[in-house]
Amino acid sequence: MTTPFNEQKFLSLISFTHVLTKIFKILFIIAFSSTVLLFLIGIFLPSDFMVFDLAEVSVQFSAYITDNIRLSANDFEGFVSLKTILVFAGLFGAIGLAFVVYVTHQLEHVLKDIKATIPFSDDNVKRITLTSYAFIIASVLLPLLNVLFFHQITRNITQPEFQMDFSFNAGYLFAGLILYLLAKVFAYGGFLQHSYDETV
Amino acid sequence: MAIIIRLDRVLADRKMQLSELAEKVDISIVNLSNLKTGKVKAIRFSTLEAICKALECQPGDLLEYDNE
Repeated sequence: MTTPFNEQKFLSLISFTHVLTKIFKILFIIAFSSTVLLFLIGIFLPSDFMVFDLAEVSVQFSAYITDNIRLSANDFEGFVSLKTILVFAGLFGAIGLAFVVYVTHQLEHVLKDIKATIPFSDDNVKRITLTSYAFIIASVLLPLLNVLFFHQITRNITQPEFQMDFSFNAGYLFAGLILYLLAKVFAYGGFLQHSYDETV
Repeated sequence: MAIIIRLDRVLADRKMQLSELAEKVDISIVNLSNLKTGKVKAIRFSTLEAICKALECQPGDLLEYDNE
């Protein structure tokens, strides 16, 4: 016995998610454009503009900044310029957000095809496969960018107990592998759909 | 494909047009045309039954196995 399927409810859910994805995509594009702008502003700023003396900044770090980086120091000494912060935060932020925009863009088009009642289209298989590759690449690239960013920011700082360990993001890698399997399931769905269409 | 559809022959014997059969069995003329030209992969028992009923024939009159 097959499980009853409420098509109307399903299509309403897909339509709602599609609209939500569109909104998120626009927000991520705005965020991406802002980071690119920060990067460009950083490039044209003079190196000696707004240089922060860290000895005068009363900030205490003693926590994991990301999964890979731990800063632990009570007294920093050194200088960091606004240019350095803007260039590297802008560049690495833009790469991270480009990944998010790409995934959201693919998801939006997948949902669009599902809404048009062609879920197992070749385009959808291609989109999900590409998204799985993007997640697998991001599982290595994004942690690497985090490490590089903090390395650039902190290389002028002296004395901190600074620990930086690089490791891939297991969550992204797992998501990528699951998506790859899902793409294969969609490819098989497409094959079954094709056989069904050729039956009279 | 080894299975050949002889719908055109049965239609000619009955002096019936494809459009007339499409109307009788309630299947689109496009699907029947695909069936006639062997462009389909499978045929449902319900479709075969409807065609046999409309043409007053047996499934064996419509389907033929070609060994070569």
